[in-house]
Amino acid sequence: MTAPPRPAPARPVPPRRGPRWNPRGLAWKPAAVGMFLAVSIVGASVSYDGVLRGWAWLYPIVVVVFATAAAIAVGRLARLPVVVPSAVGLVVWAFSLTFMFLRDTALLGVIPTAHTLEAAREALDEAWNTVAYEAVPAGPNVGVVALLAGALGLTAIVGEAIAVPCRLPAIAGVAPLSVLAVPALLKPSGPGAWGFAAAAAAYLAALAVARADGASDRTSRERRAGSPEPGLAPAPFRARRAGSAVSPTGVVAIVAAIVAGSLVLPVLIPGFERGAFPEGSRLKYFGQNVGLNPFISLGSDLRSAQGVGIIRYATDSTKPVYLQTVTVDSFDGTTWGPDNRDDTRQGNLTAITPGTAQTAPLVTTTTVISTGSFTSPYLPTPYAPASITGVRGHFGWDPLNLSLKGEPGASLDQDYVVRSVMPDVTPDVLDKARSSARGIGRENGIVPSAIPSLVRTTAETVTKGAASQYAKAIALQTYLRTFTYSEQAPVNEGYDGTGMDVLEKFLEKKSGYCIHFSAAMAVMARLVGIPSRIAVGFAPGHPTGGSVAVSGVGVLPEFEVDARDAHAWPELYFEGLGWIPFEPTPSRGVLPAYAQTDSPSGGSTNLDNLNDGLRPSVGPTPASSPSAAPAPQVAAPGEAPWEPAAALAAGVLALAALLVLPAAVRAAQRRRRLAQGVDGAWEELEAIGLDHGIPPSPSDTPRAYAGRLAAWEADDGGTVHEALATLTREYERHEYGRPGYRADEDAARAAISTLSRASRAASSPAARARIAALPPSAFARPRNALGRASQRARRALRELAARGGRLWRGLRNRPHR
Amino acid sequence: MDVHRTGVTAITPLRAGPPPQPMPPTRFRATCERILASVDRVIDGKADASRTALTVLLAQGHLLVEDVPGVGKTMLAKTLARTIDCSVSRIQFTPDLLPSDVTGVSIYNQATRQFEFRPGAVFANIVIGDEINRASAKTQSALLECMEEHQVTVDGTSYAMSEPFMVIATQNPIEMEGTYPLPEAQRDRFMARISMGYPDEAAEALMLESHQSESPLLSVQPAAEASEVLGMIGTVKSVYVSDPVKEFTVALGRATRSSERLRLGASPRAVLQLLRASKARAALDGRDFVLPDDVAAMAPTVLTHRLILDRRAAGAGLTAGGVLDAIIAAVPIPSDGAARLRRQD
Repeated sequence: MTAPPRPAPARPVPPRRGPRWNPRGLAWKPAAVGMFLAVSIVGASVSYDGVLRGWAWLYPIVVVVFATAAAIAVGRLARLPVVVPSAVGLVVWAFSLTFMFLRDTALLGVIPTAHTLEAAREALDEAWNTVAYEAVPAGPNVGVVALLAGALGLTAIVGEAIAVPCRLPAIAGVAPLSVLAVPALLKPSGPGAWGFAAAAAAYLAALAVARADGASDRTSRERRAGSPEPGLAPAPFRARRAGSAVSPTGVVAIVAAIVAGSLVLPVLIPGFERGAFPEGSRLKYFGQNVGLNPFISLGSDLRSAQGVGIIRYATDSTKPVYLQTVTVDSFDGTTWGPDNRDDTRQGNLTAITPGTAQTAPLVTTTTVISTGSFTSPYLPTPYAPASITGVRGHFGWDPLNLSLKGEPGASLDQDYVVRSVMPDVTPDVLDKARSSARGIGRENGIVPSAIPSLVRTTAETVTKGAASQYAKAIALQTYLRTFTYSEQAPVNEGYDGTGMDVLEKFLEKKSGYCIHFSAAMAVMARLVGIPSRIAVGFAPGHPTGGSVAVSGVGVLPEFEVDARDAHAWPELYFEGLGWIPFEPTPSRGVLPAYAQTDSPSGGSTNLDNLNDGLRPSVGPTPASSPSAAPAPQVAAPGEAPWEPAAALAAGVLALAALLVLPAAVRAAQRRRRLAQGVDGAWEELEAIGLDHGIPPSPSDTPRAYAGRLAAWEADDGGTVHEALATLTREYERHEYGRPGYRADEDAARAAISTLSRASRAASSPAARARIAALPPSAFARPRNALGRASQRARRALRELAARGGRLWRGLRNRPHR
Repeated sequence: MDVHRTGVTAITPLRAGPPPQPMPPTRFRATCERILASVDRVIDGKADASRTALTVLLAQGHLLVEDVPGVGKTMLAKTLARTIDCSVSRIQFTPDLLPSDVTGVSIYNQATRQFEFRPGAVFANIVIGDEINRASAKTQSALLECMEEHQVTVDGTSYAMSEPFMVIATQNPIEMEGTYPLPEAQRDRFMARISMGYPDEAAEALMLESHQSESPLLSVQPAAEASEVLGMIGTVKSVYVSDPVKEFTVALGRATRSSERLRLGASPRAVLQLLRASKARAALDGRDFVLPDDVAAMAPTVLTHRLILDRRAAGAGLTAGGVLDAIIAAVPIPSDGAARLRRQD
């Protein structure tokens, strides 16, 4: 009888050892990777110049990020278990934030107390309140800076965790990129070259160190294998090695992470959507468009952070000047349409006459307008233009609404003088005027058939008791001015638009911006019999301090408006007077003298009744003020939309974490094992085998198992065989040899990385993806423990059952004995 | 009775000799290679058998070669004996062989007027017992003491065997007429049992060629001296056995005892001999420590002939070898560290 076939003894490899690297020495490379990432993040934060004013905010960010990163780096240097440095970093993060911002409330200046948390909450609230109404660049108040410093510190922790414990240094580029993403979105000039350069350089340095860390393993293996020159390695092996640092999948993952990061970031950073970072909620993918339908872009113009498309004008008007581009007249229940009467436009710009009779005394004003980069087919003019001189190109005026239209984009860089004629109206005159749709377009009086009852009842209730058309208009305006102005609330609650359903929602929520206010007033005015239209243009701007000399008129003060002044307002038609603008939007524009009432916040008893019936509370009426510096106002009901978004983000994050968890656990296990010498290396080999469908059996001897793994051998000169032989030899000597043998751990680690690559190369892409997503070995130990426990339980149950059976038989047999 | 003797055997009264000095590993390897090479020159295509035989010699065990007639059992024994420069005796066991023929006898010397000990055939370094199952139980058992204790006691005086001492016994499993099958106790004293098996086609052809002129046995030159073999035995003894390997060996032995398919499992002596054989195998493999692989590899050779199948298992057509293989495949490898991922069930 002969012995059963056992695997051949491992091929002896000449035991040539290079200088041994002390495995317990300082791990400076992982530590350096983390520090470089911190530098990269701080460098990226430089690009926040322009989002926040001045540079005072940079110092706290530098302190928090570097303190956190340094704590993690020290942990890595000391080779603490894998999660410990990150946990230490988190603690230092909290301490440094406390120290920088809330020192007075903390214990010893750094340890947060209950007071600190309370103070932090207050600071955050205060920050939101101030930030929400400040234009970019925002003032660097404590709240914003603390928020930013905290976010960047966390980014540093996460980036380091990706780079070092998860061994994905390339992916860690997400950290500085996510920091750069915010200014890239907010600042029209992009993140800025300096910030980007600093971030990129430090990131590349981190990559280089990480690669050097990996390369030191490889060189030690080459030394052992006896190939002195890397160039002597077989070509395919070399190629695969060179590509191992940044693989195509890694690049794809980076891109995916960037996209995901820019999507998740707005949800993660409070305030990103409101206040200082309003543009984050809506990206304008096609640039600053002022297209044929001005409503499309008005909302995002208003939300835009920067004043783009500055128009300067100088006027001799004694009243604030609204620049009007176009009116929208027809409302089909879904959208307001601009005029579509190009064929009736007339080309003589010096004799523009409204087709309506004027009975009131007229006031003529002269305005010099310089459109600059404002791009539109329409020319902004103060209503009602009578003559325009100095425009380049061909423009035509519409007899019905007097809008001036040229080619698309024709308004760019125009300088012209407009003479406008408006009736000098007073409340008395208006009160006597009748409203009827004679002499104007029919569409100005049409309301769609399907009107929500809320809109109709509101219109009727508000105007009940008003004697004249003018009184009705004033009642409507007064009622609407009790609402809250918010550019974000409609976006967040999903009623940003112009349709009838939006109108109903707006009346319900009592929050919106000029489009909603003007549309609501226009529709309700039509409901009570006043023809109406919506004018689109710019609210009165702010004086630049300069002046313009106009020939024949004199020196006129100069004003400027930009995209943030974009506005829409209703115009109501009064016979004999023409189109009279009203201002139902609180805090925007300027309330004309004729439209002012003594009790602006709703002294009408009807309003009180209405409020009882509709909504118990109405926001306080903000004082009207120029739009450039909106007064602090009670926040729109913004908390409610915040929560589902946050919950969704949390859900997405939790899902992502769950998806990444097995791989992260696996990576951590691998790292821990490789730090445990040859024992750990062998365990890792078994884990790799388990992952790739060659699980170790309990009765496998080391070389029997190694023999089974030899199936991974590819045509690359027996590297797998050699690595298996090395690892088996070291492990056998360590495990079964004489005590005191000091195994060559470097060789074992090198063998593991070779075998890890070989195992991947030997499996199909699908299998690789499956293993990467859900490595079977990650949870083998708990699963085995569970299996053992259940087996023990089954055995115990069986025994119990047998014992019970015996007892039962004994009892049953007793009477027969 | 048929006893052939070659070489000179010193007969010494029992006393403890100095322990053999271990041979350095490089010389050990070279000597092993030499011995195996010269055996393989004679026995074509039986490298496994000759290697096992050398393993048993170095582990100070005895070898039982069991196979049908004419496959080279005796040839293997003789060749191994000849490659080592030591005394060899061959006993052809027959039913009428007496114990004293094996051990020796005291004869009254007229001249000196004293009883004089005439050593039996067992007084040699290598004893070849041909067809051991043909001798009577009494004669067989006379061999027991010699094999186990390396000494002979005649008329109250004990005589030590010369070292190295190895019994290579052959037996024929086919011809059962007039034989006395080795009792369990005696089988247990053989460290290993091997079967020769038929040579393959090429080896058989080669054999015809080499055996045409004269017996190749005559051309065998000793490759090692007895003292060298003692040194090698010392080397084997110094092979390190770690705790996990000991645990594994014991676990293997216990598994044969608790198996439902075996009526008789491995004795503690068997476990001891298994470990010794494993040490020899490790040394032959160039290692100074034993691997579980050594134990697993030696287990079928060392244990199979000691196992007795359960009646039901035998009825089911199982063999002791098959049952043992299953047991080896099922006993988990004890390990200090790395086996945490394995299912331990």
